[in-house]
Amino acid sequence: MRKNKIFSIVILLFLFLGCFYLSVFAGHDGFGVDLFLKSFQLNDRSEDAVILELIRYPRAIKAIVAGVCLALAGLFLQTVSKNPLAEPYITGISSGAGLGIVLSVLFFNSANYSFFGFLGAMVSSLLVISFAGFRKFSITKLILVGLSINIFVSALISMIILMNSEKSYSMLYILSGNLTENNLVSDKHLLLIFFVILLFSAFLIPKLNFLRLDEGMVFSSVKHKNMYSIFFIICSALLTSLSVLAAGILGFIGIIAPLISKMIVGQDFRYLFFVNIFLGASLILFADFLSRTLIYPMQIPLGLVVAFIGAPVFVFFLTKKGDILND
Amino acid sequence: MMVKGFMFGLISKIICLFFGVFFFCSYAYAEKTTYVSLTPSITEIVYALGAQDNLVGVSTECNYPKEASLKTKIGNTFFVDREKIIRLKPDYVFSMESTQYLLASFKYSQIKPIFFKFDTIDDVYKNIEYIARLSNKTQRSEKLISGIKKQISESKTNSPKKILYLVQVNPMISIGKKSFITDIIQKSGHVSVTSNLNAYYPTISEEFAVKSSPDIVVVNFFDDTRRLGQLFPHSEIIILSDEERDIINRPGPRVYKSVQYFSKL
Repeated sequence: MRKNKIFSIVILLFLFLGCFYLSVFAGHDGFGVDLFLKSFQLNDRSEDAVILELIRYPRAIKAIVAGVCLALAGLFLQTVSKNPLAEPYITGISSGAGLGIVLSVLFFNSANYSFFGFLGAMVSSLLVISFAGFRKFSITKLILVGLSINIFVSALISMIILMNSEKSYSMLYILSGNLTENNLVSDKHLLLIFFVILLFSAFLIPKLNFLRLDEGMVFSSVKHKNMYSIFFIICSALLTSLSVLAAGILGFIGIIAPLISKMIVGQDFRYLFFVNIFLGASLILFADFLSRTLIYPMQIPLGLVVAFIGAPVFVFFLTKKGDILND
Repeated sequence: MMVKGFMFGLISKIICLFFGVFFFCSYAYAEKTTYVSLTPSITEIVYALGAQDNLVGVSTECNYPKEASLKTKIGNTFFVDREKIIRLKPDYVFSMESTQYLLASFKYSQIKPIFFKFDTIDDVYKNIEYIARLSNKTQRSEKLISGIKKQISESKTNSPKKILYLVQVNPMISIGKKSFITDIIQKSGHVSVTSNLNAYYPTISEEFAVKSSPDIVVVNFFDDTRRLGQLFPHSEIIILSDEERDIINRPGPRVYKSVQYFSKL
């Protein structure tokens, strides 16, 4: 049994590497490994080098960051709320991020809209979590407050889009989810923050295994159960905001990546954690590959491709192994 | 026989005269046709024809010439104040083809919505002629169109370059075959690298933009050039000012100015 689980982690690692290869080296213009080696020489200003260095690498890095963050945030929230429908955006993040993005495009024509999306996501999620209360915390209250804020702010976003017709096309396009560039947080900083949070989350695996148990058992075995719940929710809000910074608003991955990985390796978080992050990253890397090659030289928004490939894959796993989720 | 023929000619002449007088009177005493415009380029055409007295309402985006912004405002591309339009009692509502759904309710009223197509410079001429016919300014429209045609034919560049026109940089939205800006660039003698894409405003992949190696990158909206400079190290990068942007994005009587702008690049 244990061997099987390690085997599936290895398979997913190879899946991840394959998707990474597709995302960086394949496409309308394929690249060989020689160019990969050459690209470390900084003086090379040929078109291929520019494409690899300024377009492909950053895209791949951001796809990985976004995929891992969303998958982890979804896993945390589904565990804390014991609800398979919980998704990372439940704490008002998608609408907060959307409002930040729309406002930045409206007032600054901003190339840094993803950073404003990040700020909006942080503010809205902190607002929702503080409304849900700390002493008298309940997950139901959190979800309902998040829902109300989402609805309120979504209406505000639609209003802003409709009132500013000359920018509405670009606003709608940006809101449908894309790997983005911004000048305020460079790729190196993004990666640094990402690794710190990832390492931090890895140390939380034992606590996650406790939270999965029934209320009564958790109360007798872990002190401050509420504190851990709140802590995980704040953690997932941080992760999701980071994914907004990397890739805008990408729905669906946060629900399906944890659920599919549960169907693959079961509920033990020691394995689930790794399967989950590899699966999330691979899905987004593959979606990125499709989004820029399917109708080349034009481009499909990444969020739409994620939905197109995510839904069939999810339904396939549900029909094959759906009963595992009933535990 | 001679007399009969003479009488027939006389009667027909009298009838013609009678109808002529009738039509003259009905023309002289008829109320002039009025209309509202929901698009800045149409407002510019109306002013260029000197028919601004017929124009009773404009959109919030109409700001050229300056007098246009003083007229009654009736909405923008998405929000149209239908009640206000009904109160203004125009004969026609002028708008773009893409806004048909907004004005569908006018189909059953006295006010007739007219939708204009702006895909090429020829469409601009057609629209000028159409509006001139509605406002009895046919002579003026001929002068206007021949003036524009002359200006455009004189301003063709001798050194064709590859131009990448970006409506927006992040994500990269460019112009395709159906956009009139592609036609403008072609008329100016240059080549638009995205002219083969079968769309109005396609979102292109950055790789394609780099691979097409343009000589000049013209950017519509932008706030930072650093990344563009890295992506196109060998190209000249031009960012449009507000006025240039208005001229290029509006397929109106100033269209010759945008051809001149590109030909000078």
